[in-house]
Amino acid sequence: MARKEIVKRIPGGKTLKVEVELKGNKIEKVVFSGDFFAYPPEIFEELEKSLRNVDIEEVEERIREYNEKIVLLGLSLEDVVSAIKELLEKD
Amino acid sequence: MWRLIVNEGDVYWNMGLDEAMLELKRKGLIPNTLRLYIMKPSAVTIGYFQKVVDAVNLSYLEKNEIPFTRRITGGGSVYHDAEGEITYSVVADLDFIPFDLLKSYQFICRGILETLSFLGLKAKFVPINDVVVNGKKISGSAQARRGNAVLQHGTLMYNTNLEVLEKALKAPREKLVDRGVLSLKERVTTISLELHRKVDKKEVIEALKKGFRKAFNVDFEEGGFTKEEISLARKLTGKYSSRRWKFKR
Repeated sequence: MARKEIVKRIPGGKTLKVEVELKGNKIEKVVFSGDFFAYPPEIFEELEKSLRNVDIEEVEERIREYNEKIVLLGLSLEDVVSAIKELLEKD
Repeated sequence: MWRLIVNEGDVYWNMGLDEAMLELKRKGLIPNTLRLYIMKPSAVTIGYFQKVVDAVNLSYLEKNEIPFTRRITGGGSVYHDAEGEITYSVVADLDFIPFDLLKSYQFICRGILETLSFLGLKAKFVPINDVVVNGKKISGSAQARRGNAVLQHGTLMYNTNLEVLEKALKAPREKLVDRGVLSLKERVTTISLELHRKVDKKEVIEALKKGFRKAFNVDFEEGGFTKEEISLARKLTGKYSSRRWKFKR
């Protein structure tokens, strides 16, 4: 099991930290944290939970499913996608 | 007619009150309210999505007996100086507050802009949630919504001890580098620093009353908490003081 993290400062916005626990090709757990705003907060937490035990290739699509369900301030869902992509691609 | 409440209490009680008011507003059981309060003793609150270890210097807080808790609202970490900061909370419904999130932050922050204007300071709203004077942050706000109800609370630093603030809070290095500054103290300010004189609590509270009255174009009537508010706030105080809630992330 590998643990990785990345911190992204969104220009003109807030800061996002992504921490993942990986097992082989799957995300065991992901935690997003930072000084951003998400509405409703419970749905953002649901997004986090929905990424448990997900194949790395499916992550982007899973996150984008929440496009219509949450409003983010200080960052966008695409920022979340690119942060996690960058994290998964780095050593 | 809006209700106005001015009170002080510890951070758990005050956060309990804010959430209780939001819940009861959702149920239509309380009037639109402006609350101005002081955290006593001085305390720290962190945003809902922050990790404790990334937001505060825990050992400093423990050593100096500065309590902290997690807010239900997002945003960053805040130092509430008992002798230097007034926290405001606006609890209202979407009949009054603009539906659009960004616009609603700006709308409510106009109360702070007018307050500072009454004190002789020219302030600017910087989206998403900041008010700045001479390029430095003097107030930050955070908002939660439940149903038709809105809670927006925020700080107004009139004489915050910035030395303590800098030691208590962590700002991600990336945030500071982005703004081209090295320390928190270089990007925050207080009313006393900007006016070059020590401003007191009473003066700021009076200015806040006038500021919000002007911004919202409403009249305020000073009132107290309802039985339901006290009862629900008491229950919620337990949550805010629990390790489980505080260390959620």
